[in-house]
Amino acid sequence: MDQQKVNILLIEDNPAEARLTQEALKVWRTPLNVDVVNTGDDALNFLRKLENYKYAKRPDLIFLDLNLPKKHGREILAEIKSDPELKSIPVLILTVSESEDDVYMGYQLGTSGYIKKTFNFDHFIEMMRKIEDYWLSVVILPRNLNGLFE
Amino acid sequence: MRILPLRNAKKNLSTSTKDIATQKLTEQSLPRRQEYLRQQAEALNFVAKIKIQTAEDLSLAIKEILRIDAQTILVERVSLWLYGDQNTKITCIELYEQSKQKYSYGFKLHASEYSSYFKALEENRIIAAHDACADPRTKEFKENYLVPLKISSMLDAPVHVGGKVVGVLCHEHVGPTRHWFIEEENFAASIADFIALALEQKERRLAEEALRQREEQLRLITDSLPVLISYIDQDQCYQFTNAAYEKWFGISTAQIQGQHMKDVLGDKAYEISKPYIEQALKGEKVDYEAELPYKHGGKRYVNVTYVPQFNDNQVMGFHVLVNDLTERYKVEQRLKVQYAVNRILAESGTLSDALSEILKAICKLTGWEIGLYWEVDLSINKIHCIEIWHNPTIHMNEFDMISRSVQFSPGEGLPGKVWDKRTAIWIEDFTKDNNFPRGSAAQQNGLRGGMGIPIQSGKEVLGALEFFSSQTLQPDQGLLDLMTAIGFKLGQYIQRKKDEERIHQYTEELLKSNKGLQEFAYVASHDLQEPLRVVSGYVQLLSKQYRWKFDVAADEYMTYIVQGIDRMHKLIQDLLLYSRLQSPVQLFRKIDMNEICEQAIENLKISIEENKALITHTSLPRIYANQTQMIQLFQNLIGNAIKFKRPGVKSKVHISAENKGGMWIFSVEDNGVGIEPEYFDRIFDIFRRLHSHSDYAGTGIGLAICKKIIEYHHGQIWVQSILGKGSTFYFSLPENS
Repeated sequence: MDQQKVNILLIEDNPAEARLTQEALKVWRTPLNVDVVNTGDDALNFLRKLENYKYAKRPDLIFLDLNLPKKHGREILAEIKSDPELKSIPVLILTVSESEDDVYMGYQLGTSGYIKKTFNFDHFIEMMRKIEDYWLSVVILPRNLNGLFE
Repeated sequence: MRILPLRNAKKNLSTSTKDIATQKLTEQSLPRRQEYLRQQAEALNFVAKIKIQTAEDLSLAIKEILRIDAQTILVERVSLWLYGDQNTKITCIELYEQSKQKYSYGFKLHASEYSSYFKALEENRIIAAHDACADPRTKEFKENYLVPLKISSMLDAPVHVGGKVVGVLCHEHVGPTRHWFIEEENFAASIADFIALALEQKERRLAEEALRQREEQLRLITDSLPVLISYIDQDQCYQFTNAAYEKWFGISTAQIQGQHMKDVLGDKAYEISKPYIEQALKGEKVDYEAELPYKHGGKRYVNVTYVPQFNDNQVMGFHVLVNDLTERYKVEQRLKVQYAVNRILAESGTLSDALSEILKAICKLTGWEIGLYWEVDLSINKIHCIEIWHNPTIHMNEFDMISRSVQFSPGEGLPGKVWDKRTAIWIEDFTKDNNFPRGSAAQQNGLRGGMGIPIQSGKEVLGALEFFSSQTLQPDQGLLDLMTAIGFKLGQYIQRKKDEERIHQYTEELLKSNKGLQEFAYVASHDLQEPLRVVSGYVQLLSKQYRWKFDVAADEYMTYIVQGIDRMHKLIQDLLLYSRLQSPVQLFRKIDMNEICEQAIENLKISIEENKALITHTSLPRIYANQTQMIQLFQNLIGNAIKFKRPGVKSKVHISAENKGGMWIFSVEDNGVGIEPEYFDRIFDIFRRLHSHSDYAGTGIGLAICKKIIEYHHGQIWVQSILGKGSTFYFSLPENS
């Protein structure tokens, strides 16, 4: 796979939501590869290259929905941030919840950004564009070491 | 027996006299003479046997003696004379006249007039005047006494008492002079001695009587006193006790007399008193207070004083004064009980804590060994024991266990009886009570007497208190009255606690259900947003990416879908806002309502500009409130005022406030469409709308939110309006919150 591509992991249980996010991500100019997992367990297996995900790519950026069945988004975040292998990957929370508790807990557990999905789709697209600007040109992401281990 | 010497037996005999006595002796016959002496001895013997007990006895005895005397030596007049005060005169207290067989008394002779006679009386053992008119000792009486009474001879014997002459026994012979024989002199002297003895005896009796009367008086006084008074000798035995002792110890004064203190007081009380008794016997005055066992059971609280009595610096014994302070002590105790109960009721958090403390306090202050609290359970119509306190030093397992396991119907056992009768009941000794099912356990633990008290709220019996003692106790009405009052007080307390509990429970349930509703509203609206957002997203995607494939109708449909979604979104947003509104007391602070108003206007800037509305306000006060909610409130009211404008009329909104009786009344006045009076109240209900969507957009939640905010701030909100002219919304907020 093209090394210039940015690897994104989208953790979202609702395929309609996932597809909508993927549609919005089409505004990115940077070439990207989006992998979608539906549950927390799948997400962790993906990141640890376990079971069905032996060949998974280590993502550069994770989009995490909070309201997930079984393992809640908060728990997934906590596990990622307590795993020394994974904690360097920025995790962005992408959710409809605007609960202050969720925001506070998100940052407490080490999220790199709490993003509320806007209701209006146009605004959502605009938001995605801004995320690309910030995460792919303003800040420097840690070097993805996928290649070195393979 | 007196020996009569027979000297001068034949001296001066006269035969001329007819006197029988003289004849007897002048006949000189030995057997006759011996017979006469035998008669004398018999007479003396008879006299010696006369018993004298009273003053009356003495007078009778003297009469008897004089008669026997007269008949024995055969003389006409025999009389007894006694000195009055200071020996200045002598009075005849009795005279017997043989011929008349008659008694009389009352003559008086002055010592100064008959000095020879009186002198002779002092000196001689006897005056035997054969010829009274000639005898130098008696001739002083001749003219005034002897001649008129035809007395010829006198035989007078002085009466000595304690070595002193107190009177004289006179024998007066009428007729020819008579010669007194020595045997007759001796006989007279002997009779005089008997009289002296009788007088002496009478004197002693009188003295004794006086003493007895004095003692009687003393006893009367001491017996009438409500204190124990006694005298204890060196050997700790009672020598005097007043009547109070009989009441206290249940034995008669005679029985107590001479008894040792230990035997009367009992071992326990004696042990307590012993050190003080020893102190008193060492000669110290002792004063102490102590609780002493009482013979009827129970204890008496006493003040005791011992005052030692000395004789030549030697302690002979001591006087005892015991003051019974039990009643006073009881009153004090009752006050203490009342105070303790009040304090416990005021301080205890739970009923259970209070009851256990009250049982303990009452037992300790009034000396009961065990106290129980019984509660009526109306659902099964039984009374059962909930709480027990007993003196930890006393074994009470059996009674405790049976009391906790048993349940009584109304009328059954002491608790059931108290419940049924609604009155306090005293049991002196329940071993004699056949309505006491726990009797054997009670006896096993040594309990004898007790009382039961109803716990009442109004007429309803909520429970009962029971107290038991190891002693049989006399009913104590004062204590029962006090306990009855405590029963009522406890009843009120229990009722209040139950009410509080019920209110607390209701409040808790209400809070829970309220919270549940709030959570439901929040979760529902939150969860509604997600699918709606998905629908909205795809509709927009469709119209973006497939627009060129739609015809006009499809375009119109799409527009309606988008509008529907927007409206639903707005509704959900408002519902979220409404359900999230919470009483924010902790966020109250002093805020400037001018700033709040400006902020709301700023938030509505776009709408104000679009409608070219004119918003004005007077100077507004500073009040305690939640800032966010106040902005929301103004925003909703001003927003409504602009929204419901009359077509073609420039919207004007004016905000002002005035202080009325501690409340700030705010008003938001507009010149809009106005509201019909029948809707003045209903517009504040949630989802209540008065206009169609095509005329005025809105969810119907705005005013409901305003009302909730105002309620949280302890104010009121209302509206006044004239249809077609405008509306004024008022809300009040407390000046000081």
